Amino acid sequence: MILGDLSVAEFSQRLKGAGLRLRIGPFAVSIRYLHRDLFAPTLQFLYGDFPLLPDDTPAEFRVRLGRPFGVRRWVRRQVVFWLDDIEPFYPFPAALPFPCSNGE
Amino acid sequence: MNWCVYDHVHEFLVLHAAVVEKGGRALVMPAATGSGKSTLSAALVHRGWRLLSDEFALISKEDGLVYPIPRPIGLKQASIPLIRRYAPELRMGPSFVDTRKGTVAHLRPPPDSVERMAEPARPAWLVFPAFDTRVASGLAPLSKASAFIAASDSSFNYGTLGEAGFDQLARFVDQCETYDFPFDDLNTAAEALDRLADDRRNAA
Repeated sequence: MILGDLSVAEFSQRLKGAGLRLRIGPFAVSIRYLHRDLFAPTLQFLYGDFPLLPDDTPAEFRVRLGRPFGVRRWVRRQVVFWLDDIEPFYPFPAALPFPCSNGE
Repeated sequence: MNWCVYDHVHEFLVLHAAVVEKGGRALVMPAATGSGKSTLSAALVHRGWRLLSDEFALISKEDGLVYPIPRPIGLKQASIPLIRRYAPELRMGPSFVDTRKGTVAHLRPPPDSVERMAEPARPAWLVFPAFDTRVASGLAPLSKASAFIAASDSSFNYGTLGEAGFDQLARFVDQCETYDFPFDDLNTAAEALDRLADDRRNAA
């Protein structure tokens, strides 16, 4: 089953629940929604061909959509230290719902 | 959105690079913001290359191959209408205004890239693109030593991998033809990279 197979309602439901798991290359990525779902349709469009994984698949990446709360933003920034001195991802505004780095 | 990265990622040497594939061989283009690597990779995908990633080269510790992570290609500003014209068959999401980068939009990865995302490619070309209208454009052979240094600068985790990272990066650079690539025109640049793949095939 691929992401594009889910109805919009099913997609929103899974984002808000335990999270949605996608296979993206060698990684399992879990995506959870913490904010308004303005951009869920875009996410579903861009990742529409990617395979869904069972809910209990351990994820190498955890993606949280929406603005982090309180200190969480800073906690998350610490987690990305594996990338040497490069901060790989901007703490994106809630408006930008998909993985992007500070590259192009 | 934030990505949290765990130890699994250390199965790979990771470069900040766009990667496309033709005939089982990977063209790896490490570059910084503004270099045009995403625009260039979109143009190459339009011309029949397979998208592995517009952002990360995942080089396996185990087999030295480059593994795909074909997320959407991020385009900025003038690249958005440019690619819309150049590659109208590529499906683009809505444009967003981001305060740091101006307008951004994303291309949906071609279905073929997603279907074949478990299929790695052999490193073949390491090309450092730089969009620049002030210098003569074209592929300029680069020494392995310079390519090694430039590639290490673009690596996310070369340092944390220690000696193993050094060896792995050296092996990777050795496997590739290495070039600097200033360019000022998208189509001319894409044609030059196409020829690279064709030359190699003729030579083989």
